[in-house]
Amino acid sequence: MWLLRAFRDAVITAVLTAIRGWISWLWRPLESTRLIAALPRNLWRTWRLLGALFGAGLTVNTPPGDAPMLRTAIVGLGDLTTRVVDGPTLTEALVAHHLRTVREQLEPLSATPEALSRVSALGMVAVSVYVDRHAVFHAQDWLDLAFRLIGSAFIVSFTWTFGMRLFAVLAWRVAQRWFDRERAG
Amino acid sequence: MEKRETWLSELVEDLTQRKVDTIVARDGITGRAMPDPATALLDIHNTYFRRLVTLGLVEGASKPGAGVFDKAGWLLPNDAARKWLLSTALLGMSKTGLKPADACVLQRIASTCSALSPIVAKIEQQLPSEVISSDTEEPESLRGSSAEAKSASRRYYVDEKRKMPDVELTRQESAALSKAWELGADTVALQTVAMLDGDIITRISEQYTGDAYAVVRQLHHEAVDMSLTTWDRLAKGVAAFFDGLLGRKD
Repeated sequence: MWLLRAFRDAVITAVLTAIRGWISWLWRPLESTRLIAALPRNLWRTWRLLGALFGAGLTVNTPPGDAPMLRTAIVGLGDLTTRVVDGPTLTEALVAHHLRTVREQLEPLSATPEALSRVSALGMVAVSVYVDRHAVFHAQDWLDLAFRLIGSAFIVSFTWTFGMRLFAVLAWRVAQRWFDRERAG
Repeated sequence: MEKRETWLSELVEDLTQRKVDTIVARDGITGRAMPDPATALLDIHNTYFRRLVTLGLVEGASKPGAGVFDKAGWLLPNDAARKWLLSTALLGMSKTGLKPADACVLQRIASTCSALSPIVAKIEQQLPSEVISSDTEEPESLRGSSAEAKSASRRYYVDEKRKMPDVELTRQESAALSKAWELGADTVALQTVAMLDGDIITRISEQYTGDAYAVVRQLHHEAVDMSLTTWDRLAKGVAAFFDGLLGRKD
């Protein structure tokens, strides 16, 4: 039953992800290219960032080194403590630079899902080209073309979403077994 | 099963409330990352101890029992030291004539010492007794130096010979320890608490309401915005994950 439910949810998510990805591509093509180019690095950064946020926390010092003027620590999934050294060196420019650095550290949290939705849209184009080249079905008019695009978008997004959902469920089962084993000592 | 439920409830609890603190430090700040749990606790205890000394509350406090201080005069990362700090802070709170900001710090010392209780218990349980007992030898680098030099030095904490074994803590315990270590015993200038139901409460110390601290207020405002954005992204991610799992369990 859970497999059928995962299938159903994946269908809905796939359609939404592909449409959203397409809109993003058409609206901001340059930003989309930048996000996809940075995806491999951002995936690793997201992993490390989540590890830090779920653990002892993320710390950013400005300027970096042993004697910073500003220090921000994010612990417990978003609790934020900022420490500033009082004095004439505390300027708006320094504060702006510090906040920019902190935002850069947190950027993978938003950039990675955005990039993934655009990858879905790209995959949709790839499948469309494949379908067209191999004459899986011919576009007679605009309606056919629209159907082909949405259909191929669905295939790509569905494969991705369904895979992720299966991965989440399997990961959960493995974690359950691990917790139970730990409990049993 | 119990561990899993604890982990989940901790996660949900974490997502229900956000706290943003801005501290204006007068004596400079450290750039180092939080050390291992036992050293972090050692740091927290001694930061609190120095603040209690500054407030003149140690002289009138109860006499510390055995195992509270080591031979170098530092508070140890153990339960006896935690209890002594807690009782000294509570005794200090009952005194009249304290400044409101100092009373807040004492309140924080008392509440943090209480909250750290399970963490201290784990450290005591998991670390070899010679690491946290009063028999600990004074580091060679500090031998012969004056008491003043000892208290000003942080070398004790980073002495390479004093490597602490790792202590296994839960995610929330690590976060609590980290938060206590970051906050220290300084006065919080601005604090904002945002709750899941939409309530947002901001407190500002009176001395930071003037034009001279407009930059600090701006910094706090941006920090609140950043915290809420991060929380929103994480909450959405967690919700999506559990959505998948709950879909399976329907």
